[in-house]
Amino acid sequence: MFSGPEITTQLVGLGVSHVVWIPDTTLGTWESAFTESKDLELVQVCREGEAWATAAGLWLGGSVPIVVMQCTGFFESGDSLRNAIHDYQIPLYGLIGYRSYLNSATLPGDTCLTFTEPVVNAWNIDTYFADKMEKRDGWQAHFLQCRDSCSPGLFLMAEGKA
Amino acid sequence: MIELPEVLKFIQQRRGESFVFTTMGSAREWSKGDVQDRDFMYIPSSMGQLPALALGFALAQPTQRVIAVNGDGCMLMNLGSLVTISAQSPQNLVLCVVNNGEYEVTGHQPTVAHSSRRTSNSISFSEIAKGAGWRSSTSVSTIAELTACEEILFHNNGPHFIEFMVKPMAGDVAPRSPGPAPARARALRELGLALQQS
Repeated sequence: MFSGPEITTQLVGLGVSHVVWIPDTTLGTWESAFTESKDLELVQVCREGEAWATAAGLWLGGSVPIVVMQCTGFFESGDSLRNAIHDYQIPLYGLIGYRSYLNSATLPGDTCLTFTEPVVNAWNIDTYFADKMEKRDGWQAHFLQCRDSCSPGLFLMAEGKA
Repeated sequence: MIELPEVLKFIQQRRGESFVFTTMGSAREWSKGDVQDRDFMYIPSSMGQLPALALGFALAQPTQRVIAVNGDGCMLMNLGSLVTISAQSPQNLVLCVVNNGEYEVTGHQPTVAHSSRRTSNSISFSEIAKGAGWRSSTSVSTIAELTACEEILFHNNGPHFIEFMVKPMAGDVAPRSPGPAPARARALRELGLALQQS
């Protein structure tokens, strides 16, 4: 949905200081734009649970992080997310790539299509779902709304292939 | 081996302006001492995530010393964080693992790193940290070795990893609540913001 320079410009415009992430096939195309940006720090973790905790530590220290991962990593990282967002009520924001939503040809029968939305809904976090290109830029208003209300939020971004 | 309270007392008496993050048994014992605004007792926790939490704070506050005191069972749950931290290489971060070889609060079951669970020797966390590329990594099992760690703990540029070989605690080892989690998070955030703006 976005090129690296496009998403980087948006993140910087929103005041994001750190991107805590693990790339997937779609998100990974953003890496060079992230690393070349002088206004963003990129923190790559080994497993997605680390991402929420690292972002929580950044927030506690006064920074403005965003977590970026694929829905499969979101599945894995639930306890860390639960702890940061619900136990400590830390208003983290996450950009979650929704694998196979726009094109399941690469992984026919991909069960991400079955489980992503129920799992996202289960965590009871305000979510903006861009299921088509026309809706992609609406996430920025959602991010600002969450920031202003000190609430956690998710941007569920449909991806084209695995 | 040394006692966990001896390790924590050593840190409490010398920490100065350092931020200290504790969890599980170390948080329980830490709360019995002189608790300050710069302490964060990570209870309730997502077990294993203390190193990641401390990394984030250290990156947000690069001029502040951050000491994290993790458990060995916790460390096993997130060994990848050792690689994440060494990649970021925050000079202000010290990660301690208090290694008693067991899951203390659940009834003293040995971890899979303990020799009783293995056909070979116990696992060395300090060797794992060395292999993960930390600037320094050491194992401490005596008071003399603890005393010798003062420069590493409080002054030298890191990141440093210190494994403390401690005896399991006896008696009441149940978790102890340090108070409402959201309020403690907000207080630390306010302090973090104030330091960033100063």
